[in-house]
Amino acid sequence: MSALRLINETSASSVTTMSVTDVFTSDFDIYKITLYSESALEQETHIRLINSSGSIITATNYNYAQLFLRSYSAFSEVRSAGDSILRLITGSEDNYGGNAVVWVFNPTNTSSYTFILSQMSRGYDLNNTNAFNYNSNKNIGVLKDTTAITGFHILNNTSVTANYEARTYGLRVDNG
Amino acid sequence: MAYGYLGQNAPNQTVSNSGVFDISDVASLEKQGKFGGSLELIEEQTVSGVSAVDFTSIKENKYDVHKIEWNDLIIGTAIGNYLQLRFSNNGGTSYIASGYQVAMQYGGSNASFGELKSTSTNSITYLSYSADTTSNANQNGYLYLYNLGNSSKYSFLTNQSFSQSTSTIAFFYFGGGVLPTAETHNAVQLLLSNGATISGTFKIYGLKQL
Repeated sequence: MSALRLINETSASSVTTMSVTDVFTSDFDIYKITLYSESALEQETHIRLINSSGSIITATNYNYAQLFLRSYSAFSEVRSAGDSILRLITGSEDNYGGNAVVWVFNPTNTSSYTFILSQMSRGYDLNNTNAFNYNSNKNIGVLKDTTAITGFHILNNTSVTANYEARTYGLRVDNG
Repeated sequence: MAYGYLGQNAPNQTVSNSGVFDISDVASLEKQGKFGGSLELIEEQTVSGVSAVDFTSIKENKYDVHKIEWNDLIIGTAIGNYLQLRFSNNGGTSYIASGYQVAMQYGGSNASFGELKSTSTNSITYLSYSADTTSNANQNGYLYLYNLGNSSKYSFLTNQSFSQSTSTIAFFYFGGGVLPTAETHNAVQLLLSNGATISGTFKIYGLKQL
């Protein structure tokens, strides 16, 4: 039996945001999220974390660093040492869709910040010519806050309607 | 249902516990995704000296996300070979050999880092690399495949690998690729860019969903 445990499936259609609540608990230290995002209009799909009081954390305590890879052009770096989001987890345009696997570390541990590691693969329309353009990224991020985190919130940078699907898994640890 | 206890005086609890689960408990909890592992092995192949590794029963209708792992991949000819992946839309009778896009980053322990990209290639290539045939110069890695069974979505990939590519250089590769054609892909093939034979172990999993 694998150590991965499906905890939650959440999806929403034609929304700008989607919250997944009460999925991080003391049962697991490490979580894996698969995320799909699809929209007709261009958008970057971001994540904010939700604390144990149910509040979406919007303070500028998110740090991230990622390499942005393009099939059609040079790669570039994306980073911030004080943003209100974990930026560009995935994204979409022209309904090409975007996918990501996101690992979340120590969300409920109040002695530790919450860290993420993610990788995405998506399509968008670079020049608005209805032509497909591909990009990917590899990303690390942290919320510099020791508040217990119990969920996450999906949003996008242009507040366009999108379809989102998220599955959350816990990584089980058994005593040897 | 009171999971985990047998007998007529079982307490009415729904949280997990260390008691005994009967067959009805297991069936019910599996349907809810709350019993058993969620990385479900579909097929494992250990091969030696083959030209390609094909997975032709990938349960694309059951899983939105697949994972493939390769372990101790050894190439058969001492020339540079990238690991590549191709999709099939006919169950593996043939594999699509054009129209892919890729974007990969690599870095070497004793070599420069760099970008590898294409908007038109014959596979999702640059998954990992080796030019060495010795038994300890192996390649290991994993990749995720997205939406293979959905005929209205493109099939995407992300990957991460590392290899002892020559006697002096270890390489990592990460990035992704896509076949931007909205159709069902129901088989995948792994092969090498310069036609070297493949030895190693390959596993394909599905990530559980309800």
